Parts: sequence; C-alpha cells; structure tokens
Amino acid sequence: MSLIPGIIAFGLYSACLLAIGAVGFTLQFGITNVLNLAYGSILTGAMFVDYAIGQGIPNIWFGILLGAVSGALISVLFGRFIVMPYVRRGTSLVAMAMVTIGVALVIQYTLESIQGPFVYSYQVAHQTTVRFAGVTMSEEQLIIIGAALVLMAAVHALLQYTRLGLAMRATAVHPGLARSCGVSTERVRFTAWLVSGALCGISGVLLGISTGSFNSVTGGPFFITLVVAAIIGGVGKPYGAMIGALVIGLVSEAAAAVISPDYKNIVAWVILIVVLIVRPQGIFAEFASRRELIG
Amino acid sequence: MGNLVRYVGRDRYGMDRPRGYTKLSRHPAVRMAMSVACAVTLAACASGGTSSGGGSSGTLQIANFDPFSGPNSAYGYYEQAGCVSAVNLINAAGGVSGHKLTCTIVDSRGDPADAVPAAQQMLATASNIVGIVDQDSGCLTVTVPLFNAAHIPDLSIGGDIPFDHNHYPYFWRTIPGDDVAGYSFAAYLKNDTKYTKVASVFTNDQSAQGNVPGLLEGSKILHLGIVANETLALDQTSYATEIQRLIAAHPQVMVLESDPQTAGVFFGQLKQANGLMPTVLTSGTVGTSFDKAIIAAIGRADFLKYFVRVVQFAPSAGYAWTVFDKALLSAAKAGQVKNPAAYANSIYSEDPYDNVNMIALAMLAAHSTKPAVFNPYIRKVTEGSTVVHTFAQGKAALAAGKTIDYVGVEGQIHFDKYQNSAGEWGVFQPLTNKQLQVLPASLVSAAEGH
Repeated sequence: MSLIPGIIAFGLYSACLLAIGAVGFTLQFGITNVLNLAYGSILTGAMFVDYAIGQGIPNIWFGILLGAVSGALISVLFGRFIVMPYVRRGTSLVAMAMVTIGVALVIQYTLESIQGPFVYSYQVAHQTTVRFAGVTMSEEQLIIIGAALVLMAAVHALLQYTRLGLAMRATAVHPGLARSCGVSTERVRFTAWLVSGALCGISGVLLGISTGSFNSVTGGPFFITLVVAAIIGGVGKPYGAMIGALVIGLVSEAAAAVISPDYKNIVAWVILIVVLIVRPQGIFAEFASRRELIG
Repeated sequence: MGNLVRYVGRDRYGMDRPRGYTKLSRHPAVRMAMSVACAVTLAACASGGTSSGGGSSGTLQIANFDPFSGPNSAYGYYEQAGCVSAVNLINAAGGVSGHKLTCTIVDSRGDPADAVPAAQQMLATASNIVGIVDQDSGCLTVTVPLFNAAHIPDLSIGGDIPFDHNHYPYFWRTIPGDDVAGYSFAAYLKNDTKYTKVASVFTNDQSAQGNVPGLLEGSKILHLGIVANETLALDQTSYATEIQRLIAAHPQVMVLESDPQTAGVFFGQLKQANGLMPTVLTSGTVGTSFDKAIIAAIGRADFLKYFVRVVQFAPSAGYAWTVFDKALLSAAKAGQVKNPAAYANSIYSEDPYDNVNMIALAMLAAHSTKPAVFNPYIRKVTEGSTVVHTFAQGKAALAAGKTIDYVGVEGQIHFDKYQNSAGEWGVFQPLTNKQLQVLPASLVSAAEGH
C-alpha cells in the first residue's frame, strides 16, 4: 500500500492546524514588532476555556467561536495592559521577549493549579470516517482542514481587500510613514492583537479537540513548531507562515514515512536551519526586503 | 514649559521617543532593581515548587520528590498516599526516638530541567530531611548525585537503566529497572498468550525507551518476532504515517508506553484505520488520565477488550497490606488522601509506604536520625532474623534487642550489591485493576536468558 496519499492527507491536516496559529503569531509580530512568547500559553488557555464552558463535549463550531473570543480577549488585554506600557518606555526587544516569557509562565502555572494532577480528555462520540485514495480520515479532521482553509481565505481577504488590511500592511512595512499617511497605527496595533489572539484561540481549541486530551503544557511543543513555520515562511509574512506550515506538515509526515518516525521533529529544525542559511529572510519574503535586514 | 520636549524620531516599535525627558522609572538604579525583581520572580515561577511540609523543629521530614504537576503528575499523588499512610502509623506508634515524621511534597514536575532546581531548592532550604521517596523515572541521573552529595537516603521506584549498576551509597531502588520491565513483557507474551508477532511502540522519552532493549532482547531469547519497532514523537497532532507502517507489518500484539495525550491521538487514529489490536501497556501508563484519554479516543468497550497492563506486582493481601489499607482509609478520612481506592492496590503507593517504614526502622536500628549513620541500616532491616510486617512490630522487636527482616506490602525485599531489589510482575486489567496473572521472577529471568 502506498504511503503517499496518507503523507499528503495527514501532512495537510497537520499543516492546517499549524497554519492557523502561525499566521496569527507572525501577523502580530509583523505589525507590533513584539516577540510574543506567551502565545503558546494563550493558546493553551483557550483550550481550557473551551473545555470548561463546553463541559468536555467537543463541538468544533462552538469551539472555534469560543476560541476566537477567548483568545482575542486575552490577547488584547495582554497587549494593552502588559506590552504597551513597556513599549512606551522603549524596552528593548530582548527585554520585551523576557516579559512575554514571564507572562507565559504565569499563565502556564495558573492553568496547572487549576488542572491538578489530571489530564483533561474530551468525551468523543463515535465519528464517521471518510475513505478516499486509500486514506481514512474522520469527519472532524476534514472539518478542521476546511475551517483552516476558510480562515486563511478570511485573512487574505482582510489583508488584500479591506482598508484595514491595507493599513495593517502599511504599518508592518513602515509605521512612521503609515502614520504620516493618516493611518491610525494605534488602532492597527489593537486590531493586530485582536486578530492574532482570535487565531491563537482557534488554533488552541482545534488542537485540543484534535488531540482529544490536553494539559497545561500541551501548547508548548506546538507553539515551537508554529514559530518554526512562521520563521521559515518569513517573519511577519502571513502568507509565508501558511507556506511554512505546509512545508513543515508535509515534510514531517514524509520523513516519518520514508526515513523513520524518530525524524519527525528533527526534520522541522533541519529545514529551519537550511532556510536560514540559504534564504534568511524566509521563503516568502522578496529579495527587495534585503533593506529590511540591514535597516 | 517644564514639560516641553522635543521629539527626535521613533523607536523600534514605531512609537515616538522624546529626548531630554527623564522619569524616575528610568533612573539606572531603579531600572536595575526592577530587572532584579523580574529575574527573581521569573526564577521563582520557573522552579519546581516546594510545598510547606509543616517541618517544625523536632519533626523529621520525608521528602516526597515526585511530579505533582505536568504530564506525569499522577505519580506524585500515588506516592503521597503511601507516604502519609506510613507516617501516620509511625507517629501513632510513638515516632522515631521521640521525633514525629511528616511527608513533604517537592514537585519535580517529572522533567530533568525542573527537577534539578527543585532538588537544589529543597536541599538548600530544609535541614531536617532524613529520607527521600520518589518515582523519578527519567530524572534520576540528575537528581541522585545531588541527594547522594547531601548524604540523604533516596528510596526510589524510578526505573532508569543506568541505576541497574548503581554505585551511589545513598540510592536504594525497591523495584526492578525499566529494562527488566521489557523482559517481563516478553515473558508474558511467551508464556500467557499465543502471539508471536510483536510490535514495539514507545514514545521517544527516556523513561519509555528504557523498556525497549529488554523487550527486544527478551523477545529474541524467547523466539518471539519483533515485526515493528516504532518510536513515537511526543504530543504530535497526527500519527497516521506511523500507524500505516505499523499496520503494514501485521503484528498480532503491540507493547506500548506513552503519555496520555500521545496515546489519545495515536489510538484514535489507529481505530480510525481499523488497526486496533491486543495491546500490552507498561507501568508508565498507570493513572486515570491515561485511561481517560484512551476511553475518549476509542471507547470503554474497546479499552476493556484490547488492553492489559503489566506492572511490578505487590500482593494486595496479607497482614501488611491490611494494615496499609486501613491506614490509607484513615488518611482519606483525615482529608490527606482523595480516592483511596485508586491507591490501595497500586505498587506506586505500596512501595513508598514500605520505603518510609524502612527509613524509620533503619533510624531505630542505628539509634540515630542522622542519615550518614543510619543509611547502611536500610539494608540491615531487611536481612535480620525476626520477620516483621509493620513499623510497630519492628519497633517492638528492635527494642527487644532483635534484628529484623521487614517484609511489607511488597513482600520480601532483597537488595543486591547495587542496592536494587527485584520483584514479581503482575498482569492487570487496566480499568478495573483486576489481577489476571502473576509473572514469577523465574519467568522473567528466563526472558533475560538467566
């Protein structure tokens, strides 16, 4: 039996889960220039919120809505009351990253204190499966793929076809110039926190539902992988994050099939190192962005 | 006019930056103090927690160094149930040389990176720790040297293979190593099943991988075929490729250890691929979280149908166990233990119960509460002439001038030259903990080629 259909199908599935979170992460970094290392903890927090309100019964559509709301709320509050005061004081990038690490730890340990010694598991009813091209996928997995594609299309539409999206792109390229052109960069940054938080929350909820079980540290390894996807695609480039997630998803599954499952995680890091050597600005960034690297 | 400033550009965040505007918060000394405060706060948050153990002067502490948070947190509570049960009985019998004992929780988080600072903090802040009980699989190589350097006896049920040939005088292990566990799976499959084609599926952490060499070697010795040997990366969102490879190998049975989250994803996708098969779980899968994750993935009926668990065995019967069980129930009534039924038949509670008793009896036998003095007596209280089953019995026998052989809930403990004690293995139904079979040490030895 050929492994290729399975590699493509489940590589795409993993890529979709990664892409939602990676796009949110890179979008926020590109506009606010804040390396938000609390992103993984916020993602995990959204899982807890969905589990608590949904009482352990998984519902993807309700979960997406709840994840978006909870993620956006936490993210906006975090950006407004924790990040912005430091930004106004001119805190260095490294120090800012340390602040976000601190917040990440606070969230993580708070969730641990709630969780106690247990792992939370969703009550999963029997799922219908769909078989095609020698691959069997569950209804839930197909819905996750569909939801991710819709969300990516929505992000594309926001960035390309709305004035707000234009303002976001302008602020990401040159905040000062954007402000000179009349763009309210404060409003744009607020929107960036909102949108990235919503994507973060959705990513967390879908991760929790897809794995079936989670605890306070579930978001950690996933966050690292989505950061890798974001960097591969080009930091601050949402389309790059989508491509990066696709690359990670497919190559990891292929490595597991062709070489050994031992190499599943190793491959992602090897790709990152190669990309940073060959094309440090990321796969998606244009050559014109060399100026950004210098200045 | 005093507030007039000149803007000279924008910072890295695109914010306007004034020049010549000094606030107190920018004073170098204040910023340094804030940085130090942040660093201290972060360090406090990052390190493992040490809960108050109520160590008043005169009270001797038994440190329960275990994961109480994180993916393996169930083990900490198992150990604590055994520890408090023993300590309560010891204190009721008058304590040790006038000293009461208490169990102090030290959260290792089950990860070496967190266990080391937790251990160092524990050793630095507590002066009256006389013994440590732990289930520290995966962390022993980093924590045992610290405890040994501090001259504190560590009675462990961690299975790290390097300690099969232990040379630390303060480290005692009362269960076999993880590699012996691997031989026990081979012994079970050979002697109690008809399966000959075996798949080895373990996650890539040290604790789980410790089972693999014994399983592979034991299968080879007993002429079982290992048709698949898969390593699962922890906490992935998909194991579809691994499952395809596994199914393609056509195994009849699978031996597996993983954390709950990985197991949930793996078995959910295995069922999706119509690949469920008889599965032998290891002691690393003990805990309600694992069972719940599997049930959530495949349903209770399939869990009962396909799974068994092979773990170190302690006979949940006899006088010693009856005393332990009563102590457990009393601790539950006192609010020290929740859900005592989960711990009554578990080696992970029975073993620390015996370990605490041995520490206490060693102190009495040595007439000293100094660890450096009583440490050698931990072996001696299991080699004497008078068999005792409880601390109270041992205390009375020692007071009468006799040498004792403590035979507790686990049965006879015999420390070899590496201060390891082997034991029997049992096959249990995971959900109900119903004992299905007992694997005597002789069968496991045969799998080892002895």
